[in-house]
Amino acid sequence: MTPRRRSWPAVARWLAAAAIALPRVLAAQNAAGGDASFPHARHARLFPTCSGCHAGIATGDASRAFPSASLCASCHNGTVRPVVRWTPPVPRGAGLLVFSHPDHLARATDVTCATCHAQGDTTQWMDVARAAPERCISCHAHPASAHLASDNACSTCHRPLASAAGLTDARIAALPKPPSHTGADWLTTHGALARTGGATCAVCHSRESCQRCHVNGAREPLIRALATDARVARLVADRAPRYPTPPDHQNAQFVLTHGAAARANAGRCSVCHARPSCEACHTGTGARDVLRQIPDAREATAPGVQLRQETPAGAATPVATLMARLISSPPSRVDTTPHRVRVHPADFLRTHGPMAASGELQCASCHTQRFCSDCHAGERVTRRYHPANFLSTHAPQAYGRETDCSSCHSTEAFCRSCHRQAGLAAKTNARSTVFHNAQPLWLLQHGRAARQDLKSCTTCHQQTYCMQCHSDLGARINPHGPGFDAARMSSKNPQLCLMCHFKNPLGK
Amino acid sequence: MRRLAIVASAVAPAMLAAQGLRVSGVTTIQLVELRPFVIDSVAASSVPGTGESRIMADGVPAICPVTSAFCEFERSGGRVSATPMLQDVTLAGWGWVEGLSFHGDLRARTQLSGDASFVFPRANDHLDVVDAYAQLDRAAWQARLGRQWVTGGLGAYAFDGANALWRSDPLTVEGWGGRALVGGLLEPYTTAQLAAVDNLPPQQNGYVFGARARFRPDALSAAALTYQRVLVSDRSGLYSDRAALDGSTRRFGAAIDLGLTYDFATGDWNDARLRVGTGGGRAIDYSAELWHSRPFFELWTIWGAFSPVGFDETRVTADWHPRASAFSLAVRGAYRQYAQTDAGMSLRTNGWRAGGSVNWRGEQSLSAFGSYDVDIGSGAASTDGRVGARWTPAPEWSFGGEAVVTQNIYEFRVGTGRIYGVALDGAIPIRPDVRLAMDAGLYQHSLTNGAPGPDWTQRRASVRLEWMLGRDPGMGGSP
Repeated sequence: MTPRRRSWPAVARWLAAAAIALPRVLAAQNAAGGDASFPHARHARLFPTCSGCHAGIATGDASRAFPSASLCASCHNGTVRPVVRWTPPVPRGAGLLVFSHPDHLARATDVTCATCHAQGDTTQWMDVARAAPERCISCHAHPASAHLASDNACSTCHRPLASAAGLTDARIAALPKPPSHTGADWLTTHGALARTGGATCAVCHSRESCQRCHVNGAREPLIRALATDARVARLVADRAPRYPTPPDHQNAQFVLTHGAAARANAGRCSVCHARPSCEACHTGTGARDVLRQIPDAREATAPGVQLRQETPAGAATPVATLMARLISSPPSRVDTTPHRVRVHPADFLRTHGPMAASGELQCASCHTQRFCSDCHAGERVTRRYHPANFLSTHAPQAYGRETDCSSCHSTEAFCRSCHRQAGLAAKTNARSTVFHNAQPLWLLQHGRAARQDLKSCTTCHQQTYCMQCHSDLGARINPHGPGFDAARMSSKNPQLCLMCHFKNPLGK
Repeated sequence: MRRLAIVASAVAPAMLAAQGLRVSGVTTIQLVELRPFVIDSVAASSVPGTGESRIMADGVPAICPVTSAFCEFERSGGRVSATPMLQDVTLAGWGWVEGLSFHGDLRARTQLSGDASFVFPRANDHLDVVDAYAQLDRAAWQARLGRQWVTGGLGAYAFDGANALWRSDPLTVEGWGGRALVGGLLEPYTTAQLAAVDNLPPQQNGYVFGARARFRPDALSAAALTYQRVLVSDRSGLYSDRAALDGSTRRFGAAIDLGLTYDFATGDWNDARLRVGTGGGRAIDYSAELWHSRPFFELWTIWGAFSPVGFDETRVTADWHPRASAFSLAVRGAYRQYAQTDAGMSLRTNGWRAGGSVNWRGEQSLSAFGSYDVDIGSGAASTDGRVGARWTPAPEWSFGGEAVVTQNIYEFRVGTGRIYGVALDGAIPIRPDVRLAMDAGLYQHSLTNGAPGPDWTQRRASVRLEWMLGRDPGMGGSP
């Protein structure tokens, strides 16, 4: 059995009936000081037609859409019937519905007021109610499965909210929420629906509805296409934005891949992030083309998800410098749940070499060249690398090359200079009592120690100190190991040989 | 000064004409203290024993030359201090032409006070230009001219010259050349800074030339090949001739990093590092690393001819950091074995490291940490424990404290010791564009095993003032 499709004349009849039996509905919808609860049923035996009181409905004459209070007083005069206080509702402007009673009456002849305004399926005269949307759908050939279904074309029957000047704040707040809006993934999926049916959104929403959460509300064409509405602005003023973390953001490699995603669609980023959020890390130049497309803090229409640098747990001193702070806006007025992103893996300071050198990390996206030289220029400007009191603990790390001192410091000008002043380094080439004097066999041991940790030796000893024994100038003790390739080294710098040998031993 | 004037005169007009200018600075003043070893003497007759090497009654070693009536020994001298001051000024100008920017980092040093016998390293080198270059950056290429840095598999090198880079995804090719500067020194090879500490300093300047090709097929994988040589200015030889190969990938749920550096002068691999780990995103990440390390020496020194050897190290780490937990825990361990030296008597030929750390982070502003590390190796060993906490009420505010206990053991020199220390630090904004940061610590040194001198308390402190003038460049097309 298939439902019977109603013909257009039937629709017209329904609408005509609706036009005639509208008073109670309009009274409820548009009442402003008037009595919105006219008891139609109690007057059922009194009025034979709807148009007796609502003559203006059929003609579009608003002044005659409702009876005057004096008409009531003709009976309710205190003698025939008790006096009642009823006044016709004052029209307050358009509602959401795009509906013309005269048009419907002109186009449909087989409907009565009761077709739309009858209470349920009742056939009792003047048992009326507000016309339910389902009544419209029941006549109009409509693809939607239900009134609030997401596949509905709302604008067929509804005008944009901003045009519905007659709605109060409370009425707007009470607008029904479609089932689709309550889904767990609604926040992350509504964008695609909005793109295909922007006019649908406008029935219940204004620009302020979107700009409550959307940082890019001033740029997004779909949002800009919505009108502003002071009533909605008041309603959303105290409602906190919500920012769900998209699934791809939770991928462990998102830190590395987000650049490509941003280049492909920066607009997606700017839904939740303003430029200061990016600049919490991107202080370099590499990401500028994308960042240009992200709204800056002044342009942002919502608090957004604000990223900011955080000192890693375990760091002895704060990472953030004034530079990082200045380019970041203050934290959001409404903080969402903190979500910490680990940009670099643990132990990154020690292991960053290959990652940076290979280009896998686009260092220039987040750092200026100055960031590198802050450490590699060999002096502490901001304490970032060595822990507090590293001076007292650096020896084991230097011996074991846990930290490559010469990557940042000149072995001679930095290490040797300080070791000299600390009394650790030989100030002359003369043998002193210092340093190795607890090692009776040191002279016999030092060869192995030197080959294992020659860098450490050079932080105290000058070349001439060793040349006292290991050169033609001294005892001519051969310092070269078994694998020493004299020809190779000489081919790179022949002068090197002549520092210890009177003449080039290779005969060159 | 003359050098600075030249740089300033070259850069300033463009700066002034630029559409944006930002000047920032960091003023750092430190207090550093130490008690240097000094040599003292005592009558040989008062030192027990015979022979040249003796131990005095208080356990301190002494050298008693047979030709002398006195023995020499070391003791700690009086407390000396230095207050080095660094003034860094960073300039950035941009605009005028799309992609054109100018950068300058100037550094001034001095020592505000302290003992004449203790001059903090390089405090007498009063002025340096860390970098000063013009950059033209376009979508497909970039060019730089001036004092600049090149960083890569061979480390970080500063030079005065030009750099050109061409990029066409996934390939980037870069070349550079100019006057070489000594690593970590920002001075040419003939600088007096080297001559002051080495009586065989380089006699000629060097010129660096290098090239690099990078291949980055996607955001998760990349490889780079770098070659660089530093020529002696008269072209009689080289100061260095090296290459590096680096690669990284985060594909297949793994994190793989490879770094190789090769010295053509000695034919040795200076660094060979392969690190394989889990790719993150798990509650626990693991990594294993194989590392070969052999020191590199430039050819203006004789050290490379002394056949230094390297070691091979195996390192493993585990890092537990569940997303929902305020705690994270990391443990690490490494073992290294030195290569055969063919020299000298027996010494320790291996070493190992082990350690762990735990971190706790509160909801917003509180964090705490603790760590313990042991490092046993040739030359020196230490154990080190730290606990600390930090309060960060706002991004620009920070207060922290730390307590540390360290034990140092030295294989090649006298004395061992324990250090007990506490340190406090803080950072506060004075104005939106001015921030003050400071730290101070007290470290009690307890000397043992014949270390010379009494125990003492070392004081360390630093004050840092960060300031900024001019526009925030933002990222909308700025430098």
